[in-house]
Amino acid sequence: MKVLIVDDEPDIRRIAKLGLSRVGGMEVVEATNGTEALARAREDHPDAVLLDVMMPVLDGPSTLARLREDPATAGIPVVFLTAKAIAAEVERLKSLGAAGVLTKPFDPMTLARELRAVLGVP
Amino acid sequence: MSTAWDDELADLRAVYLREARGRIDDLDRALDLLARDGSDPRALLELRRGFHALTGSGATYGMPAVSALALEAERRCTAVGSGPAVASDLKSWRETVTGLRREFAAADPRAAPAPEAPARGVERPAPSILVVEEDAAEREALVRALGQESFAVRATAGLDGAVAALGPRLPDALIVDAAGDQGAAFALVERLRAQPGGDRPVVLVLGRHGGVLDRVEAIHCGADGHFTKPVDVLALVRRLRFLLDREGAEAPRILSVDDDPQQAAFLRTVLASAGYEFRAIDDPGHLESELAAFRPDLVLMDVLLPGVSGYDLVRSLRQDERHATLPVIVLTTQGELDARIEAARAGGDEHLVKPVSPALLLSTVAARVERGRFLRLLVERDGLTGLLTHTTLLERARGVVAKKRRDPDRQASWVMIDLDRFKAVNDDHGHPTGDQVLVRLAGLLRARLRQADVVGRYGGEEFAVVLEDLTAEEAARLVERLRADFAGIEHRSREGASFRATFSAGLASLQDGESVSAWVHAADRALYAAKAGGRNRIVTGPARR
Repeated sequence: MKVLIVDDEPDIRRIAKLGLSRVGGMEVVEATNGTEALARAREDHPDAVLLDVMMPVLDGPSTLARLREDPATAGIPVVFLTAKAIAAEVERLKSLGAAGVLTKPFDPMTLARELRAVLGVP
Repeated sequence: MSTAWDDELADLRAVYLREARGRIDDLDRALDLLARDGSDPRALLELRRGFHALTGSGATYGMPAVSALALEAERRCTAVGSGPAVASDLKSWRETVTGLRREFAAADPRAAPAPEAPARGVERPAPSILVVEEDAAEREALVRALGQESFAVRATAGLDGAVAALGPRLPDALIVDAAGDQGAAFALVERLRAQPGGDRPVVLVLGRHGGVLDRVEAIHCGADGHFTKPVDVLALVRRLRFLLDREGAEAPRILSVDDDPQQAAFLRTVLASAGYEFRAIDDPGHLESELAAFRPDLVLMDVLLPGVSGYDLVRSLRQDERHATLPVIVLTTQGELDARIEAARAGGDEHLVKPVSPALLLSTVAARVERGRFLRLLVERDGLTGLLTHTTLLERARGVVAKKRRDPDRQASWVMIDLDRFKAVNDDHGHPTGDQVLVRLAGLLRARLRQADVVGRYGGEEFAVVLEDLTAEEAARLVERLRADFAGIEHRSREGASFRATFSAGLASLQDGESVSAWVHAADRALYAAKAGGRNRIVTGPARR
């Protein structure tokens, strides 16, 4: 399973990568902003995108919309990673067409397990 | 045991900590800009981004306090919007930044040693206690008893006075009489708890009735304990000391016995981020030695272990009276009734089913650790002085000897302290006054030594201290200061007569390969020499082979 991590914070990318790849055994590609994420998604064909919400340049929701516009990336499930864990925000993000929402801070040891659960893959 | 990703996680955390300083400096810069122009859009955005990033990353890197602080500041950013930010906003953000800086400094292993270990020989400030008691006689009795324990006590009669006396600097503890106007007493406690920092002080409520409901109500309104009048002062002091020490105490130690490295890594992540000291062993054969060396406050035991059942391991542990009070949580994968019964029968205190949610794990561990520590305090501490009992003292000394065997460079001194002509104090002034002198000496030792130091009551008027990591000369200097200070204390008998007391001390440093009994014997001989030499003095024993 290949996951694209999109986050402008290097701290979060590093530790999410540790959780997904070393602990969870997934393949990980990274992008530092929305624009870069679009390019990576087209070229690397990830099985899922873990997408930060608040990013400069192109934020998470706009990135999701652009991914959906491109037939090459429209089918990739997107999971938001947000520090705003309030119910209304989670509902709003889900209504944009995300497969699920994970919250920051997260436990790097269980991140892969949680991502699998959200995506419904064993 | 350590796994590859454990090490990687530690490396990432080190990078995160290194970069934290830059982030905080950025926040400071943004705040400086806002101080000039509260609507500076770049500064407002910068600030919000900075706090937002820390909210998400703090707890992820094992620092939940960072996330909590940053989240609150981030919320304020959202509320302020495009500004202007006013003085109270800036003040609150500055406080957050100061708090964040402190959190990062505390987490940085290269930083100065944590402040909870003050240098030995330097007196810690006495905990301040506010007593609110209407009855004048009971008030005075409490103040006297607490004063002897080296607490800084203030007292007031009425609840009105108490509100004023609370003042801006809250006391470390509040003892409030609820025998009269219970409602007003509880309101005072609630008021204290609502103040900034009001969750910190220890609160004990004194009631006329010892009914369960009274206790429950007291605890519900925010008290840490409830005592029925007439108050058992020794029990109250014991509880008070336990609750006050809790804050400065060492981080609780958790030992996990689990052969699954991923499970151990999970437990480590959750518990270490909550401030516990964590150690894991995958081989049950090492349990005995780890119990002695690590001295855990709690054991997490997996039931499926190579070659042995976790239940049997718990049973064998319970047969050893040294571990009678040690909390054990059994972890199983199956949640059936059978497993639960088996865990209880083996002597496990609690049974959790894997996968355990971090929140359940943390709350269970916290509750068990606190109860276990209090039980241990009752068992291991002398009822009068609160110092270690004879048995516990020797048990700790065995740990020190074991450390020396592994690392011969370690230094340790045994100091045997004996009050001079104590029988005369009892004969002249009565036993209660004699007890007061013992309590004063215990209080002095406790105030001057580190919490981790081994300080015990060896016998009637004989005390013992094990000083680690000091040379014999340094230890002797420290004890000499204690001697001089104790000799200067004026004691007062019940009849009002004032007198002074002194002690003699014998000191022996631990030699290579020496047993506990030989070490104690050497200190005893030195003590004898101090007595023979005229008392009120310290003698260091000669080096032995």
